[in-house]
Amino acid sequence: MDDNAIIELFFARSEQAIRELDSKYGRICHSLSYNILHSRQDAEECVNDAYLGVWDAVPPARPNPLPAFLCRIVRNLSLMRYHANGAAKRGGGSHTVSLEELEACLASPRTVEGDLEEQELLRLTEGFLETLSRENRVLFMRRYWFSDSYVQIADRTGLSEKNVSVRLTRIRKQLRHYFEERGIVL
Amino acid sequence: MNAEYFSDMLGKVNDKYIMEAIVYQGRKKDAWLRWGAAAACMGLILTAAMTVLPGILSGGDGIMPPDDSGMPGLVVGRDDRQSGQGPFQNGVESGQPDAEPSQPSGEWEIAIDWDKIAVNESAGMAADAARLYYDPDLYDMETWGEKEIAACYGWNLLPDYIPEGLSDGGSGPGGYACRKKATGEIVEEQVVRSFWPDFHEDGSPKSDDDLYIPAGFRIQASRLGILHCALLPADETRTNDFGGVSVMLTHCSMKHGPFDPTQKAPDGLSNMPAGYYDLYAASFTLDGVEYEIVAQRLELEEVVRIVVSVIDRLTE
Repeated sequence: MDDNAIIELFFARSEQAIRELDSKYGRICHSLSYNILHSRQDAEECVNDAYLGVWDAVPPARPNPLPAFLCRIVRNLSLMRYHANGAAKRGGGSHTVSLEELEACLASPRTVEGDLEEQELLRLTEGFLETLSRENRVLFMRRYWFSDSYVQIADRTGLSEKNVSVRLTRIRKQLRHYFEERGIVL
Repeated sequence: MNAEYFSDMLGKVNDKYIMEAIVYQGRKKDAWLRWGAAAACMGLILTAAMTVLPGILSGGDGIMPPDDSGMPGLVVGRDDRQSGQGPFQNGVESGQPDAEPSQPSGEWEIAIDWDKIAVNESAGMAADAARLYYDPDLYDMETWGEKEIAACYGWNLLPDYIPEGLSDGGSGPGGYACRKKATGEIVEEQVVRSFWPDFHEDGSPKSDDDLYIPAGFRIQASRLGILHCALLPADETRTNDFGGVSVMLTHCSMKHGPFDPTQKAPDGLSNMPAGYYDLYAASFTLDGVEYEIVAQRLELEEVVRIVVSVIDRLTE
């Protein structure tokens, strides 16, 4: 079903909207949430909560694009639960591993959060994404936004896992250099 | 800035980046090909840093005792308990299991003389090793299933010995062949069959314990030569003689996370890992087919059993 048709169902307050949403985007939502939470049950609950979030938001909102809107809710809810679960329950999920990778790249005893407005950092980050090739940008987003595993990324892109790993290592180095060149000491 | 802060901030990037990542589809590979490539990487580790265990499958035909050449050897014997004969008294054939593919270890016993085993240590995988790119205008990429694999290699890559708890998840063997459009000549082919304790919904291997790295193994084969990612070579290369087949064994100790960013690993190059796991690779050539068996988080004994069962099956 077309995204606009799904949104119309939401506007009509038809519960079919949820079913259509799940049918079309359930897989990507569950994958995203599971990558973060490493728990089928928690992921299921987060995705269901996200559907309810869309139900509450639409109307009046008319999200475009719908999948980005939905995935953003799923990610936010999953990260909230990830933090609430605490380290003991997080396990070795893909998101945990991806954070470890970023930690090695970004970690610094000095924090920049206070020095730089979040919006400015966001602008710089988007600027960095623009410096990447489309394929590398997708690799970066799939790994650190969707918390995909190397296997998932390799399957999506047609690259080998090793190639994915090497490319992401290079991209992280580029990210660090990008920030450093702009005077942000990480 | 820490990683969680960056991750939270990344969550707020423009929708266009999210949509781009959602809709992007590269040149998709089959699952077996993906794992075949991984197996190639692991296999290379094995190949380059080979451990040579002049192995000797003790007993009757096929499995040779260590010779006097000074080549380090591995002594392996099949224990035919049904006949009451002890290890090293029977040939490879004596313990041959029936056709049933996945045999419990108790039905397929070999005795290993560990004094004769030497394992070469690999320094690890090299940084990069991408597969060759074949222009789709000039080459056709074929997907091979069980039928094509059996026709090309004479068997379906199912060893007689599979450690308990492992399976291929019903996926069977898989592979590919790259063929020149102009002549039909195959310029690259590679097949693989993998055995893991569990699988994700997409067929990828899944660990059955707390460690993210699943314990299992892959068998990879190619007539034109297995693609190796890169394994940094060991100082020396030694081979074993398993039933007249020269087998190279290599070991590499691999790091696993979570990694502690506040400490450096002993190598000084990476963050301190939570621990290490073993990666073994065995490579050999039989009937013109190059094989590599790559095992992670399995004991060397299990690896040897798998290798011997494969060689035994193919040489009987």
